[in-house]
Amino acid sequence: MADTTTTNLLLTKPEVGASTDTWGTKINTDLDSIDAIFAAAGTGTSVGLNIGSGKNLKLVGDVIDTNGNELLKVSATASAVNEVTLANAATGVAPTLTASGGDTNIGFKLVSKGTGEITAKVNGSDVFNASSSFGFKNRIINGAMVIDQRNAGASVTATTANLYTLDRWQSVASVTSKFTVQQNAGSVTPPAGFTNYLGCTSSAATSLGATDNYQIAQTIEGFNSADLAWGTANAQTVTLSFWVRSSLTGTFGGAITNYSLNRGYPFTFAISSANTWEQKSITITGDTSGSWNNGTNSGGIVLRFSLGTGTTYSGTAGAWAGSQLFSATGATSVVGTNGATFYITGVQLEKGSTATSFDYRPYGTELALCQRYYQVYGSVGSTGTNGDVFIGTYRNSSTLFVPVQYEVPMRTTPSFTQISVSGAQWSSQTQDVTITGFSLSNTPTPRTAFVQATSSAAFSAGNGLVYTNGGTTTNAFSFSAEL
Amino acid sequence: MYQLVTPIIGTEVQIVKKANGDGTITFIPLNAPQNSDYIAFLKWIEEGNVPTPADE
Repeated sequence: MADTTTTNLLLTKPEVGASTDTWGTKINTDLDSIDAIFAAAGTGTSVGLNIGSGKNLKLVGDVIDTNGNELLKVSATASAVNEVTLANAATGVAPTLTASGGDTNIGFKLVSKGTGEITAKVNGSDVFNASSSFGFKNRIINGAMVIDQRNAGASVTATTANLYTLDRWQSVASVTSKFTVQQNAGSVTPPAGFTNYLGCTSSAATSLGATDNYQIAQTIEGFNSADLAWGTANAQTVTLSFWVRSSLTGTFGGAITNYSLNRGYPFTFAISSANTWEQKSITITGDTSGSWNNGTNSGGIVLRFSLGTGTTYSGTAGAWAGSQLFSATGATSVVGTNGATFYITGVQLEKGSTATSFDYRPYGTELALCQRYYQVYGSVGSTGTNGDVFIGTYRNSSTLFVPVQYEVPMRTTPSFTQISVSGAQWSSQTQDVTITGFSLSNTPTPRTAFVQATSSAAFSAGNGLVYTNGGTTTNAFSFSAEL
Repeated sequence: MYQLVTPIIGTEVQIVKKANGDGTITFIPLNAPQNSDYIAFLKWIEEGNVPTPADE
């Protein structure tokens, strides 16, 4: 019987009882063939490998392709309990890549290198790109400081009335006239990707009393923070990110608080170079205590950037406290230096422990989000919007009803403010009458109101148009349902 | 600081107005517990203040 060969590697099987002088050579050749399979470069004879149930393939090196190039690397984590499971699928069912392992809840990360993007394709086209997607991840409205319905870019002096400045951004001041707020104050170039910023300028060198506090703040409605589940055991971590620039350097402060002001988380951020935009990121563990008005139209989370806070309202950075805190102990006081500036934009508060790219929303969408809290009709400022036209129905010789259906339903029953009536007019079939006042005497709803227009001249019976002139002067009224 | 407003429809006073000192006048609904201007008005009342009666 002659020598035979094995099925897969074609190893020589010396004839039993023969090959007296050649069997050793044949065996050595076979051993060399087997050894070559395990060449470090993976250049050995192609083989199949069956890793049976309960058996493992230990992989420390790389998987390379047919050209010898790296295809897959593995990275070992000491004491790892979670891993990835690949599953194929039958006809009509998608294969899956699944996070699996010992933990009850396991996240899944796709990590690009450098500025590389993460993209998903369907039918050959991108349907997802992680660097520009995840719309509405930002809980802050007007974080890019684009909308300024009230002031149209004009400066606002902060007062104890805690005036709103750019849309959704409220100035807080324990003493009037210590700082101003203006869209694009100082006309510096915003950071790349932004066209606007909120600029605060100190109006004096103000010493802080223990209870003094100066801030720029935004209150997030409880409906928009409900999923963060703060005040419960499932409170989610959030990350705050923003671009900031100041004429001062040092450690600045702010805080996250609840609307009731009995929960506070002071935070700090360093500005290392004066008059230079710097991007900051702060991760905040969700608060498992306190009341956060989740799922209501009341105030939920309040974000505060301190421009100066006295000791009474300053606390330890990076920790929750059950008290009224607006900043971190020892933080820089912007109002302490006359003329000091504090500019900010790109403010984003999002779920998770990582700051992601800014959530750019269409202008119309951002405006509509702002209008849930404030909307103005007519013209504001010399560069304001055009005038608006309404139906004006005759009530009596001195009063018209002017029904208004808001551009966006409001958060709650709003207040009405007559800003100016200069240039407003009623035109009917028979007459043109200058309007001298807008007012409200019956309760509006969150969707509609009937404003009253009055005049020193008598109106004639009939219907007509009430219009506010656009152009060169402020001539407007507004509705506010701000928090 | 605040003055009640005579309703043009009905008789129950529903609005209080406030001159803001900058030429603007704000009209605040009195039955809007989530309205921050109304909340501020209630605080003003709690401090012992009384609004001016409505004009006849």
